[in-house]
Amino acid sequence: MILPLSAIWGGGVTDYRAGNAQRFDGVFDYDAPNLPSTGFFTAAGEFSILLDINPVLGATSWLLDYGRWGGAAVSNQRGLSIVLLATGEIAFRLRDEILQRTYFDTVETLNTGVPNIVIITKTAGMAAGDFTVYINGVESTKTSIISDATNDIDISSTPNSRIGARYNGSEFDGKMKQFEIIDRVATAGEIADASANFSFRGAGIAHNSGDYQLAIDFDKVTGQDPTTYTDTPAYTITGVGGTTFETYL
Amino acid sequence: MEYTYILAPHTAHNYAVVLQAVAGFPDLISNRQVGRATPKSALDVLDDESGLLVAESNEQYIYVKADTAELEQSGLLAYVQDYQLFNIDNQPKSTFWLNVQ
Repeated sequence: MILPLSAIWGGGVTDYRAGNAQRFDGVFDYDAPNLPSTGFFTAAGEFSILLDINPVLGATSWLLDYGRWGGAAVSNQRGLSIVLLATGEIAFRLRDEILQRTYFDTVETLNTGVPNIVIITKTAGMAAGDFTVYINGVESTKTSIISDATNDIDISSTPNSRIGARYNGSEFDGKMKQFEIIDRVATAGEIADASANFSFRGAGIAHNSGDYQLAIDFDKVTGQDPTTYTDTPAYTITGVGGTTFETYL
Repeated sequence: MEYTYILAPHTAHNYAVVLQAVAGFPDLISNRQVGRATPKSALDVLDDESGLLVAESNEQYIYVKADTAELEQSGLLAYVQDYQLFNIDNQPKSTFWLNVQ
């Protein structure tokens, strides 16, 4: 017999995978949040990003393009990108305000067609060693490392942020249930709890804790735009391409 | 709301009837939901992240994401030649570059 999650966890634990998630079609869909151009990802600052996604692997897609990533000219790349490679690795790409780079890929992969938790933490600094990626609760090994960046990220010259695509394509195919950023490095215990419970809220980090930089509510119905949660920083998120929402599980 | 994806050769005729349908049914296709598509080839030139830089094929197609209910009301498909229909789960991503920039 398969027990409901509420029975396993007890009635006091919320299932953060309940309800709808945004279904990106991999061709036309992305979300455009009006994130600030400066001060959002700083060299001195810390962060932890959590994504709960159910991807359809097979093509490289952008989970986040903060800045304007791409084009044939490398000098056109700006900001911070979290990329899901065709075979499931996470590729992290960062260019600071003086175009220095920090790049790496994970060795471990996400699984296709099932929910996956990705957590990326950053300590003070911009070198590759300041970032750690956890896939489904397990720290991933980095490969293909470039580690030159030292400065803040400033995208004021190329203001463009997208969730689920880069500025000129590479749209995400699959469902997105959580996109959370807190402004500190989550502890080992919090990473374990957030991975097991599918949200930083599942690690006891409440929306009104003051820790959140971004927390998006994807439990919507088709045609609506996602919103940021109450008690977290308010941003306008515009779903482009006709938003579709489906049950996550 | 449900969407239907239409792949059709990029001919003057098909382009004209899609334009006409969009003009007559403003809710048929939202912003950015019409793109060019081209067949994939092993000889395509790709960027570092496997995105398309230059397609080997010269064949051009139109790829449209249409509101299914509006599509039926518009009667567009009676006029589009040699089209194929897809849904969100079976799009021809393995054989075509869709929504080429």
